[in-house]
Amino acid sequence: MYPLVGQLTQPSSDLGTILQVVFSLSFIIYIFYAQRIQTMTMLRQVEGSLRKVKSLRDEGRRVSIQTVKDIGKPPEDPTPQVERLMDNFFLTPTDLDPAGLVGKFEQLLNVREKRWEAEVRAIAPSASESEVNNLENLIEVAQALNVFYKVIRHYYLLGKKTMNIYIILQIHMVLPLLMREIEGYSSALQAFQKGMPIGDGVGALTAAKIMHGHPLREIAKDMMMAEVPSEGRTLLVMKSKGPGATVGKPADAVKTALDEHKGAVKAIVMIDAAGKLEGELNGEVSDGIGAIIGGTGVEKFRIEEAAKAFEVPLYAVAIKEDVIATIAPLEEDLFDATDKAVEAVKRVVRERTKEGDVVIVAGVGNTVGIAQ
Amino acid sequence: MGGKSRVEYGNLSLSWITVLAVIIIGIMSLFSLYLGFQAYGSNNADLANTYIIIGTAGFAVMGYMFFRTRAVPSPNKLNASKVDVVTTLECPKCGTKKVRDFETGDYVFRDDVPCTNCDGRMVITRINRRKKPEKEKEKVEV
Repeated sequence: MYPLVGQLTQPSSDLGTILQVVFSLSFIIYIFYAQRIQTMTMLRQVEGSLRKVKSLRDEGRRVSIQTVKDIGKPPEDPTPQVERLMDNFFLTPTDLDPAGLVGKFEQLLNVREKRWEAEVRAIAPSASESEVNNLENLIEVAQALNVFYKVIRHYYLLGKKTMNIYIILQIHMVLPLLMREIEGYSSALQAFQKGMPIGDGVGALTAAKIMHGHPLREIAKDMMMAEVPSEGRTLLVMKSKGPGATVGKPADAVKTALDEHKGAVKAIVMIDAAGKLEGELNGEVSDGIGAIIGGTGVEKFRIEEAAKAFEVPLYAVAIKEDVIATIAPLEEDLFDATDKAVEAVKRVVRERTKEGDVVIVAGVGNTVGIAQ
Repeated sequence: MGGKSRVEYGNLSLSWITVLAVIIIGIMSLFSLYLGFQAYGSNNADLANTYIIIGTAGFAVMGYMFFRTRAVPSPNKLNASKVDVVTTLECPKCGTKKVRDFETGDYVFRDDVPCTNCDGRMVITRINRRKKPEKEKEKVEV
């Protein structure tokens, strides 16, 4: 190679001279500008993803506005209100003094929930209760896409402005993971627009399969419960109130059931979707110990508190699924997995309780498209 | 994001600078290869090798630029992914089972859909995505 490169210093023609100069220059440029070239390459990749996210964000906005118009039949154009909701934000309480943090967090979440419901009702006066829930979730998805877009754009523009490789690297490194989540959110648009069951609903669906056909009552806000006799035990099966898109208040439901049965409850079995690790099968069912519930942690805290107060063991049945599948329309494998989850719940109850015991079975997750 | 100063060609969206760079590098690389083959003809193997390396490197750069450009998809290809969802209905009275495309208003355990075979009401027992054709499974077990 080196003798060949040495030929560059022996040009035989004018064009040869030009080519050799260009070849030499490219080496010199690369020595000094390698990092800048790498920065520009990364910026270009981020730009490509940003264009895609922008397109999805716009689609989310368009779908939300159109669905509000179609279902809610507002007297005026709802575009400004939907755009305002998409820019709405939520501030978590300070953790400088952690004492009482969960209570403060819960209070803020309740305020947010009530405000969102009121805002959506105002812009969609003709929507039913279920439809309002679906619209709330639809606009939340559009809001999430908006936040993703703004954050990626922030790093892209800041990186472009400073040409600092470390700023661009931060977004470039997490971009593949972010894009997977964004893909999931974009599929959720279709699900919430039409009211289709989603991957997160497998816990609610499992509970629905156990409680279907038994008398129901609303035990807490947006939470339905049925008493189901099973192998000599009484199962207090609960899930969020479908078929609208809601996760309900499982902690309130569990606490109320424990209070009502004063010491008779011998176990709490929770069922929920859980993120699978790469290599695990979609729809794999496994069981464990603890309160299986996602979200902010407030509901989990409340359930653990209630279980501790009544000295009731907490058991969990997890249905493993990919992060993209969680908010996308329900996959066939996951639907089939709910039958396996029903069997897993029955096995846990059979093995860990005695005949005559009362057991709480709580199906956790968004119940869009799933009744009870 | 420079969306307006782009050349659309099929699925590709190229910036003018990229197009210009690819053309210049392409011409120079071709010329370099031409000179390389000419030098071979003149029995000047060392010089010929140099020109051919320069030409090949130029084409490699072009390929890299093309590859990088493909990383930026065309805006008309960027739509939210939509999936096929199917609803399964079963009649508890006559046992009829029916699978159709999802319709707005469908939900699991909805039980007021008239049966197509008898005077009963069908229950929606399943709503799920239509399964995609099986892809070749990963061959390596880890």
